[in-house]
Amino acid sequence: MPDPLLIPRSLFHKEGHGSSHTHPHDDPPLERRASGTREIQVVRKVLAANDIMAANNRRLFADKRVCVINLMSSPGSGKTTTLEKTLARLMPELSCAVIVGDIATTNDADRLAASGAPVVQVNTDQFGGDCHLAAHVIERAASGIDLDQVDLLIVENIGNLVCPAEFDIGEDARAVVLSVTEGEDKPLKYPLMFRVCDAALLNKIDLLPYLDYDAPLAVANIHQVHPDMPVFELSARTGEGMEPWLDWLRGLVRKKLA
Amino acid sequence: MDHTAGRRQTRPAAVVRAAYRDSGVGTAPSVHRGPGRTDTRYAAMHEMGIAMQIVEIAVASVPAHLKGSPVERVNLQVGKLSAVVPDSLRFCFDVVAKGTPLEGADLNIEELPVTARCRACGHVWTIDGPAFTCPECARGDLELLSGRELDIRSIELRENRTPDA
Repeated sequence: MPDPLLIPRSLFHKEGHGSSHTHPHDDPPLERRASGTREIQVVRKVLAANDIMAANNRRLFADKRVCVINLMSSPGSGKTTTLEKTLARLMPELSCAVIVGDIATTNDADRLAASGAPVVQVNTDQFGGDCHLAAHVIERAASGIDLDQVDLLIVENIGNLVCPAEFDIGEDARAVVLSVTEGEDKPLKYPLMFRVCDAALLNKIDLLPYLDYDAPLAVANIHQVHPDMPVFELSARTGEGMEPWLDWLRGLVRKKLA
Repeated sequence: MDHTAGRRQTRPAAVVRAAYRDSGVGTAPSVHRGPGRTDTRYAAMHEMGIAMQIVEIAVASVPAHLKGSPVERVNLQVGKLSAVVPDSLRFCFDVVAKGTPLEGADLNIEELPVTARCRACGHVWTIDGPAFTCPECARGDLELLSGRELDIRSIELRENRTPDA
């Protein structure tokens, strides 16, 4: 067992995590006196335990040849409807499963179970509820799914544009759903989320005729934070624009199974 | 509630309660089924989980021959692009540190800027706002050099014993 507290070298290449010049494995902690105290060099990533658990998940998903998508957004952007429509159109061509996180209720899981896909609901409702799904929670939730039978596992994360961006769960790709009833400047307000994602969905475009919403500006803001990221403008409700998003998912699964 | 009625191929969703009783370091995930148990370490903010990890790492970092020495300061580096609010983290740290060698310790947070290198032209710069395109060549293929850190750099121990040989 590797020491879960040490920074694995493999984590150093992650974008902007820095510290690539340090070598915590090579030297014992240095001590030096500083104004009556002893300073012990530690140099450890605080989230190393989560990152190691995420790496374990990633190995498991690779062994089982399951493509895993981490779907994130603010509350009310239409993640669950998008997922319902996505499952309806990808199945049975692809065998799908879902892990859905909410602070409370099984409402989303009940809706998604109607697709016939295996669904595991994670509730974080103790004392107000945690704000993200951590890697160890995904590991436990995935143990309730027969991964041998699954091509695509979609994790619907807790509705939150802040915390889930910080927690690797072992996924192959991340997607963020933004809807046209939110501000065009959301990507600028939550840059980390839009940096860490591999694709963005701009949902509810069927409402554009009724709104003063500048969709090109929203897309430009996404690209200001993450140049060249694919943006799928769609309406999960009407089905308009769904196909490029579905093709993107199919491509990821193909790549994983190749 | 019978949500399976009248639907084809529908099964009730398994429910997993993700109770954050522990920080997941070296222990089984604290996920359980059924009614939640009361535990004062349940966390509503992810800063709480992060604070718990900090305390755990700091306690484990005290060398054996200095066990029992109180920790006076924890030096932390937090990148400005990390999803951590320093004030929330300090608050959570004070709560979590109670009853450990870190009780009353100062959490010293050094915020690090977001810096990037353009893969196209090699320009290196500090990103001040939410614009991730190169100011020199306007392209967007960049490597972030810093800004995502959430690292403990060191801990400082108060000397408990008289200086001797």
